[in-house]
Amino acid sequence: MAKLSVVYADAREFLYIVDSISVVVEESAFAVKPEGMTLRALDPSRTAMVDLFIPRDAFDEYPDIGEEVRMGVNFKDLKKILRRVRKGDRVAMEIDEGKLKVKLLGRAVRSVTLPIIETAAEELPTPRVVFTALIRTASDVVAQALKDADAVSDSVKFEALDDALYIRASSDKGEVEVKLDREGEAVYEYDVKEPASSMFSTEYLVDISSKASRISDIATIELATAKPISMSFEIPAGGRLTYFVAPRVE
Amino acid sequence: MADTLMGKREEMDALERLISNCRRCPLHASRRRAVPGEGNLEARVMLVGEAPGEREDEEGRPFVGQAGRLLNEVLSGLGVDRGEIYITNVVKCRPPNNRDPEDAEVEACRPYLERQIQIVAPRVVVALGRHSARLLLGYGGVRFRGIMQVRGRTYRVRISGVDVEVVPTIHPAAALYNPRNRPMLVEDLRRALGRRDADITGFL
Repeated sequence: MAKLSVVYADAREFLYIVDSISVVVEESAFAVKPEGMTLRALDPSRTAMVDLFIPRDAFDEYPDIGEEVRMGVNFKDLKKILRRVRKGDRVAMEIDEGKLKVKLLGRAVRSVTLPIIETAAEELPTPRVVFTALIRTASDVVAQALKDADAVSDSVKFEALDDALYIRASSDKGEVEVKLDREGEAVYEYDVKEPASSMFSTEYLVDISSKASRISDIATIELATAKPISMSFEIPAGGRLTYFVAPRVE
Repeated sequence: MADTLMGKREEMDALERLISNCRRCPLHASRRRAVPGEGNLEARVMLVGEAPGEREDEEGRPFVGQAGRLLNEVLSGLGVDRGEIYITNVVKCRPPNNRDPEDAEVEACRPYLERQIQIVAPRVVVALGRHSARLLLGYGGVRFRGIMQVRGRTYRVRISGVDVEVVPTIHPAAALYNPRNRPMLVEDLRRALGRRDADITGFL
């Protein structure tokens, strides 16, 4: 394979993206495609899926390629490298002779070579759910609501009604209710075609939202009753980081 | 990892023979019978207690004494038959006079529990009591500060290559000695047994 390189302008942002992906999966492959870089993976217990898209324009350097090239990585190893970034560093990922070279481009060029992890080349489809409710809101509001829910219970209920989205949790430790009014200042779009209500594991959602909100200001939540939730975080330069989490069943 | 039931049975039989003949720690000298564990090898939920007591030591089966009777009652109240799940202990031999297992005894027995988790590959592991919770949460790097601090939620942990949700709760004996604790045990077991996350691939 010929040498291939992508350069992302902000290494710290890239660390946050990788950290957000690693909530769901330990190893997976970035697919470098003509339109941009993608990654889609399931968590090992098959409860959650992560779906990343970073458009090619978001990169400082991006190869002209006809077909996709996959870069399989272990995110724990990649995070170890990226945690050492300095402010203003850029990050390059290069595939050359079957190795993945991660370069932190700052006052010096620091390179670490990692083995390329073999992953299934087949691309997963995304869940086919007809969502009946959509709420576009502030990512940190979602993250805070889920932290509140996590304080009392390991399951959390999302209920989208005509007037508001309710995020509720209860147990013998207490009860939490967070209301996001459709006219509220942190609600940018509210479209409920049919009320929707589903219960989810708090642990997945609290991890996802707290990591993703470091790199995203705006999140879109989509719901349908007893169906997976979709949480899509808008990330810099037109990218998005979307998670699907399966509902809890009794 | 064995993935057919027959393969799992063969592997578990071999492991049980190893446990029954184990001399890795001094507890072997005072035991009557080792107590490897029992139940459904394809269980979604595994219960892990602390160590066998007198009755268990006699019969070679886990949770058959008073605490076991309470556990059976709680399980049937939740509509779960004991045979649907897998039950074992952190330590497979009875500590004399039902004292707490020592760290070296827990360490000596740890590979057996890890192997059982690999064979059964449950999605949920319920840690009954502080010794079990400390050990199982330790795989996820969770700092253990007492069972009351960790109970009431689930923890995603990888144990010997198996991704599980650990649900820590009080030991049934603690609910036996203090019946006011019983609702906690019931609520935690309900969380572990009654609810689960759907499989996202079912929606693809």
